[in-house]
Amino acid sequence: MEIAKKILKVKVNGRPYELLIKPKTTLLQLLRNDLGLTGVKQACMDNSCGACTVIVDQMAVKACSVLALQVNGREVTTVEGLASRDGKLHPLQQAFLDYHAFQCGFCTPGKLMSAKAMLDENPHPNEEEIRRDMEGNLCRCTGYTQYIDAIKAVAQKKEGVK
Amino acid sequence: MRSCYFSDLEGIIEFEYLEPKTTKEACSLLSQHQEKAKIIAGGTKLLASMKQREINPQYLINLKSIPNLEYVNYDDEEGLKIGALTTLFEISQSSLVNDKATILVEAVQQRTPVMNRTRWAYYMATIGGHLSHPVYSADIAPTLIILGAKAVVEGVKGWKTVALEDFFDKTGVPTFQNDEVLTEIRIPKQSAEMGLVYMKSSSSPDTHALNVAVLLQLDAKHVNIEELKIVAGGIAPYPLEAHGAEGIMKGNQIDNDLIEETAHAAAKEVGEGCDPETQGRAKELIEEAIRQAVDRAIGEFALGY
Repeated sequence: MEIAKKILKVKVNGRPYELLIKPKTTLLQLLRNDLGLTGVKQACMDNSCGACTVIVDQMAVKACSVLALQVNGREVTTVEGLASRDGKLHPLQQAFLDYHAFQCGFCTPGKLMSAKAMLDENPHPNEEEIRRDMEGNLCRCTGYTQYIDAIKAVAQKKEGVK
Repeated sequence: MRSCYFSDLEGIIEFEYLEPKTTKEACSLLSQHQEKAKIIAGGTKLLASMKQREINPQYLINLKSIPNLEYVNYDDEEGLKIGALTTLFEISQSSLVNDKATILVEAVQQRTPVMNRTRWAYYMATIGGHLSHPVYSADIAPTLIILGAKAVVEGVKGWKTVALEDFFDKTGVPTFQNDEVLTEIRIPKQSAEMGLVYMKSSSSPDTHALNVAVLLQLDAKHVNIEELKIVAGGIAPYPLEAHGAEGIMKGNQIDNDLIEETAHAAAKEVGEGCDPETQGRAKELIEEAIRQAVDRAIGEFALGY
């Protein structure tokens, strides 16, 4: 049986796209294979590790476990869209650098996106809240201290982050 | 169980993605394709099951294409109405739910099954989807039962309401038919003087979490217990009410020994067939919940002095 492809309209990092895709395409495949956004990492594929975390309409979701068609009409932000257009790093990115919050860096894009969604919802979380909200993101280098410090530093800034 | 690393949807057969515009259309698609079709709402459970090859539907019916299934509203007459596609996140954030059904928010925030604990699923998972899966429904169904909630179920021929206590069969699966869709949860207006408590035990790799929801109401003189409901989740495959144990306290005054006796009987009732350790944990949890419910029920009154 020939399966009908579906039209997907989605905005990714501020750019509108209209694509014809197979229904079983995951958001991860769409972003990496069709749009070339390889900052979205492919790892466990069963929503355990958080490496593929992207933001859909302010919500951090795991791109491996969402169908591309589920984001129809929505706005997706990947780590490529985090810095401002003039190249200035997002405060979280800068803090991750300042605090050496990564070793191999594979889990970093996912962590940045989870942290951004968390701060958008709750601009000044305490350490406990940060740890709880970041528990969906694993780091196989076992770096579980510095990135908490980095996020804490951003969270303590009075004006909050946008 | 994890089937393999790097498992993806690539290996599975193609499916068609259907986007009905009305609930009726969704029901007729379900009735047309029967077990070949699955509903997708948030998709958190569905996609995991597909990747693990537990199911392989040929048709996915997307409920999100139906307008107006995501809402929370309230009026004094009919109480709180929550659209089935409202996400757990939206429920937690809703000032109406926080105000009118606080313990539902408590239950949503304490949910534990690994997949739904993390942030992404909290954003994606819907209350309707949550209630349709035994593992997840254990978390929030007990609170909905003590709140006297009803589920609105629509089918090809029309719609009906089902009380939440009749919503699950003995395996924890919703009792409605294949071609029916859950569209709304209704929670009646609650009396201000009820003590409502939701409590959850911690879990470890060896023991899973138990939870209990308790409703306690005193009579007009604030002396005798007029109403008591104890519903436990996470013990049997479906939420279980301890009807027998509730009778021990009803009509009596608040009494320490009576609370203990009730908790003991309730744990035995809901934990029938379980090992003594689980029953012991259930008893502790229920006892603590009853005590808190007593505090909450007399709290408002005591402040009136």
